[in-house]
Amino acid sequence: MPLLDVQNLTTAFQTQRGEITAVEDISFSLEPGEILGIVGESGSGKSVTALTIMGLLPRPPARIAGGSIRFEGTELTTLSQSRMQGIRGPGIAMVFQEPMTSLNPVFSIGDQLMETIRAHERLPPKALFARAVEMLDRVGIPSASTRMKDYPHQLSGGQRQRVMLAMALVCRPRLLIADEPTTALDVTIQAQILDLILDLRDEFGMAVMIITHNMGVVAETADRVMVMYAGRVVEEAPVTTLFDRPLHPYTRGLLECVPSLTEEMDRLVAIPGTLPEPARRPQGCRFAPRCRYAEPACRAGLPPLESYDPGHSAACIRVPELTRP
Amino acid sequence: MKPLIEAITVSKHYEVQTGGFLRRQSLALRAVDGVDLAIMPGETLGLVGESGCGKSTLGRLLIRLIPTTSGNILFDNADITQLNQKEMRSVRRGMQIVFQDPYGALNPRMTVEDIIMEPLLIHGARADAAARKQVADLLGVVGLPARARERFPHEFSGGQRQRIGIARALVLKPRFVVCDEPVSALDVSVQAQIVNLLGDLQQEFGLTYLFIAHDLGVVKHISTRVAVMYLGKIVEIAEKRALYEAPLHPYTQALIAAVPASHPSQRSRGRRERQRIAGDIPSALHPPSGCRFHTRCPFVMPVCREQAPATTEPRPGHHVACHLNG
Repeated sequence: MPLLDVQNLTTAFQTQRGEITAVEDISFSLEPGEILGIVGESGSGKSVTALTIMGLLPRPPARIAGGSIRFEGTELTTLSQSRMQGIRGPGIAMVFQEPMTSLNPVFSIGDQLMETIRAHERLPPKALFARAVEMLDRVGIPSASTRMKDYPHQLSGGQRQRVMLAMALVCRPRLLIADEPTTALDVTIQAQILDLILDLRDEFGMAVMIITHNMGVVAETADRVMVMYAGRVVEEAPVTTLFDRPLHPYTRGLLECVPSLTEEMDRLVAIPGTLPEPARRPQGCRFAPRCRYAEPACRAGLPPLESYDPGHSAACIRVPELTRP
Repeated sequence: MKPLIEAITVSKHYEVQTGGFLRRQSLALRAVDGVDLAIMPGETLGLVGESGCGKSTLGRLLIRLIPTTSGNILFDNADITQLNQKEMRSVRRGMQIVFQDPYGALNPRMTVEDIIMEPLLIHGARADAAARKQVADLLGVVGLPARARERFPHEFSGGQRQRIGIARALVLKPRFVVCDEPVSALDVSVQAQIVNLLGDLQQEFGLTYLFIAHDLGVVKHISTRVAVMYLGKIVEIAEKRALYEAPLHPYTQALIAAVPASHPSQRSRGRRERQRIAGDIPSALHPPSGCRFHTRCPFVMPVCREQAPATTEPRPGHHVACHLNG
C-alpha cells in the first residue's frame, strides 16, 4: 500500500465570476521514503494540491469537487477537522516558502517549537525543552539552547527556514510537504537546506513531496517528478528519465529555457506567450496556444495522460509522432 | 577605449540607530564600501552576490538615484558626483533603470501610453503626435501589441509588465541601463523571453548594461564580464568564461558550486569536490575584520582575520581580492 494515494483529485474555488478549477483530475502516489518533485509555474495548481492534501484550504470558497486522497489507507477528503488535526504533524507536515509569515512574530522560536510538540504529545517540561533543542540542533541552528529564546526577526532567512523544518519534523512525520522551501533563499543557503532535507529523509525514512518551479532543485533531490501546467498533470516520470527523455513539449521547454552554467547559446529557447489565468483557460490542450507543435486536433479536446514506458506518462496527443526516431 | 561609466572608491554608508533608549548609538551600515568599477561601452557587466551584499545599492549609486557617501562617479568621462538636480537632469537621459518587481514599478492608475511617455514629458517633450508615435514604435520594439497603449498595468501578466518597464526605460534613448534583477520575479518559461529581448535591444540600440541578478546561469548567459560582490565589496571581477571556469576567490567558487545540478546524474550531494560554505552572510552593521569572507571561508589563514586583502590582477583582466592570490 502506498503511503499517499491521490486519485482523480479536483479542487475548485468559488469566485465572483463563477467556479474556477485550480486542480483538475490529478492522480499520483508516494511510497515511504520516496521524494516526489512537483514542478510547475504560477497557476499550475501545485500549491493548491499540497494545501488540499493538508486540509488547509478554507471551505468554502474551496471545495473538493471530486476524487480521493488516501493517507496510510485513511480517506482524508471526508475526514473531520479534529481527526485531520491528528494527522497533521505526526502524519503529514508542511513547510512553506515564506518562513517569516509562517512563524508567529510575538513568540520565541522555542515556545513555538514546544507548542507544536505539546499539541501531539504529553511530555514533562524538561523533556519538552530538551526535545526542542535537539531538533534545532539537528537542523543546524548553532548554540541551539540559547537560540530557543530568539524571536523570528532575530534570525536570518536561512535560519528561519531551518526553524520551520524543525517545527515540521519535530513530530517525526511520515510525509513532509515542502512548498518552494528554498525559493526565497540565496543559492548557498538553498544548497544547505536541500542537503538537510535529504539527510533528514535518510535519517527518518520519511517521504517528501517537494514543490518547486526550479528544475535544478528537482535534479538535486527528486526520485520521481510530476510536471503540472494550468491545473493538470502533463507528464510524470522517474527523475533521470524525465531529464533524458522528456515527452511533453512543455517539459522540454522548461528544461531548455533555463540557461546552463556549462553550455553557451546565442539565444535562450523561450516558450512564447504567458500562462493562462484559471478563468481563461483555452479549449483542448491548455498548452496548445504556446506550443510549437500544436495542430488543430490539440485544440479539440483535453489530451489524456497516456503511459509510454513503465512509470512514464504524458498528456500530449503528438507524443507518438514527435518521439519517432 | 574609455569606460562609459566608472566608480572610483565609491561608498554608501547608512546611519543606523541601535541599542535601547539609554544606550542609543549610531552605527554606520556599510552597504557599499570603497568600490572601484568600470563598465565599457556596449558591454554587459553582470553583478552577482547574495541578498544584502549591496549589489542593488551599487546599481543605484552609479546612476545617482541615491547620493554617494564618498568617492566619485564618472559618466562619459565627466564627474557627475557633485552635479545638482538641474545639471543631473540632462545626464539622466543617458542612464535608466529596469526594476525587479514589474508589479510595484508601474503606476496602476496610468495607462501604458502615459507610463511610457512620462519620462519624455519630464524631459520637456509635449504629449503630441510625435511623442505618441514614439510610444507606439517602442511598444512594437518590446513586443507588445499596439492596443496595449490604452490599457492599465493590471491587465497584463508579469512578463508583459516587465516589457512595459523596459519600454519606459528606453524611451529617452539612454546609453546605460541598470537592470536590477529584471527576471527574478517572472515565471521560468517567461524569463527566457525577457532575457532574449534585453539582448536584442542591446544589439539594436548599442546599450551598455549593468545586469544585477542572483541567478548565475542567467548572468553567465547575458554578460560580457561578471563582478562578484560580498558585504559591500567587489571580491572578484573577470571576463565571464574566466570567472565561471577558473574562479579564483573562494566565495565565487562556493557560489558556483552551490548552483543546483542541471541533470540528476550531476547531483552534488556527497560529492567531495563540492565547496560548501556554512552559515549566512554576516550583518553589514558589524562586518568581520580583515577579509569580510573569512568567517565562512574554507581556506582561512591567520592573515585573513587581520588584514583586508588588496585587489590584485593575477591574470590579465582578472581581478581578485584574496590573500591566497596575493
